[in-house]
Amino acid sequence: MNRIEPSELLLSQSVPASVLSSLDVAVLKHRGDMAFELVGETPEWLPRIWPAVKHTGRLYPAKDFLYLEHFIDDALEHWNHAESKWLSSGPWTEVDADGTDWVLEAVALTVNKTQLLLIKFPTTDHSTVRGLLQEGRNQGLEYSRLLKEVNKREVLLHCIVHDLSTPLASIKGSLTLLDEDNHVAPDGTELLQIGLNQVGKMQELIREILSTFARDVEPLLPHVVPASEAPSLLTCVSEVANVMKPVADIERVSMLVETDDVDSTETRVVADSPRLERVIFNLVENAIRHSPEQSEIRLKVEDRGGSVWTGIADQGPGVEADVMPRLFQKFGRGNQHSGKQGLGLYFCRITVEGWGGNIGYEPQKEGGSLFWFELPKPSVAMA
Amino acid sequence: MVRKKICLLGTSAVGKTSLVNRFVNNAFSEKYLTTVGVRISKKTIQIDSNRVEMLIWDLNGEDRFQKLSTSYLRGASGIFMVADGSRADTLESAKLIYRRVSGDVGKLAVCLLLNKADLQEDWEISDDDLANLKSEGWKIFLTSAKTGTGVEEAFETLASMLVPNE
Ligand SMILES: Nc1nc2c(ncn2[C@@H]2O[C@H](COP(=O)(O)OP(=O)(O)OP(=O)(O)O)[C@@H](O)[C@H]2O)c(=O)[nH]1
Ligand SMILES: [Mg+2]
Repeated sequence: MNRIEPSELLLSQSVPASVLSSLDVAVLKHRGDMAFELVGETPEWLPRIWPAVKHTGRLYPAKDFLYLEHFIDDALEHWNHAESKWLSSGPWTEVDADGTDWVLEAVALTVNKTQLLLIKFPTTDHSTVRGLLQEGRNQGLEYSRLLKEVNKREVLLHCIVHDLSTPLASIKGSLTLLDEDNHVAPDGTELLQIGLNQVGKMQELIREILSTFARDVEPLLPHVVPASEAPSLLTCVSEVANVMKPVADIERVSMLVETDDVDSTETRVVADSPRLERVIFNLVENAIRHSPEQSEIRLKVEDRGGSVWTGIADQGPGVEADVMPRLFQKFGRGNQHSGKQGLGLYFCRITVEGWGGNIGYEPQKEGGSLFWFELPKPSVAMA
Repeated sequence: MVRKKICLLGTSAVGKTSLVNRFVNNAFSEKYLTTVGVRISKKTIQIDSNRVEMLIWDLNGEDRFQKLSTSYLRGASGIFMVADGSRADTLESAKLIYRRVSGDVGKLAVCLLLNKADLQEDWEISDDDLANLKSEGWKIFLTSAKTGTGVEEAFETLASMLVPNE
């Protein structure tokens, strides 16, 4: 081995050998034809990542480090043209035989016409950067995990609260009817009042929960069942109409399902039936709530080729113009009202849109509201 | 034997390094160690009558902290675009990165890996999204570096796209 002593090469440029070894850098001198020789002491770590240094004095870094294949082309160019400055390969990660990662950097430079290649650990600057990068990325991951968790909980919370508030509204309605129509013997009215008070308290509580957690975060997408289990929109509408009939009766509102001879198998849509029923339920309940006595609610299902359309029309006062743009937003009707209304429509929108459908509101010419939504048929959605 | 350079690209923490570790060492770690610069591994596989030495360049993730230098792609024959199926935004990043690099390096064999397929609960890519991606011409694999699902198949498919058919 004809290893060059550092004194030969570097002391002449007044760089003491001790400086070189304290820098812990592998210094390679280019002998031409991509062959290199180690100069001075072999850093202790070098054989671990470069076993060839144990066996030979002629080293071919471009062969042994795939990463340097291109860099040495660039280095040649640099040695031939740029005299003064150095050229860095940028950091790369080398894996040793034990599977340990080593972050390294190569630097090409010329010292008194000698072409040198240094292999070293990136400077502290680099390791600081690396630490910051790792930190930033960890936090980024953590952030998206938390965001997801928060979204999940929020949607879950909304659904729970919503599910609580719907039966509560009918309990309140029933108790109020009992109260007004003097169905109850005088000694029962006190109990009835207690019941009504408690219902009121619970509604207050729900309102509080909703206003506390009313944050503007995007919800999760609803889940979609396989095409073979796609529910029929017509069947769901009829189902909900049946279930809601007693409530409509209490409010003295009649309900009519218009089907125009559509076939229930023709109205299968991308959805899952419990949630689809909840969407229809919300819209029907909304319609009942806004219907005057002796009026009529019409439910309509139409096959529109690639999709199925459903409308729920009431003869109520309709939605005020200033509310319309916020109708389907979370708490669209503002926190001063019962959170329930806004939430119901919000739930309908995120669910319907999650299935790839549309939802909307139109005032009717003859007065009253028309809420509609349209869902794709499974065959079309899969195409 | 033929040598082929392939690159893994995608935003950070989608599992590029983990996929390589699964394929090359059949190992997996939950710990996240972000890759600095490039990490190169080798593995030789048999495709029909060809032995293919795959030089696998695992590049640092491109994100708001760090850009990807397309010079790393020099000499590459194939690329994997990698996204994390439990974070839909990483799919958008993958598409963006691909659009940019394909301008620089021209047409290469490319497959899209939707990784972390074991995270069923958190999966954010719907069947519709998949169908859309397919119609955009992507060759897609659902992979999990954690369980190994789809990993070998993906690497072998990409390799077979790089050697001439007989
Ligand atoms: N559950 C699960 N976790 C995975 C999977 N693949 C990777 N991970 C985890 O995701 C995190 C990031 O994985 P890496 O392989 O380091 O990601 P990378 O894309 O190389 O990241 P950068 O080098 O920063 O660009 C690690 O904590 C891995 O354990 C997988 O298939 N399933
Ligand atoms: Mg990595």
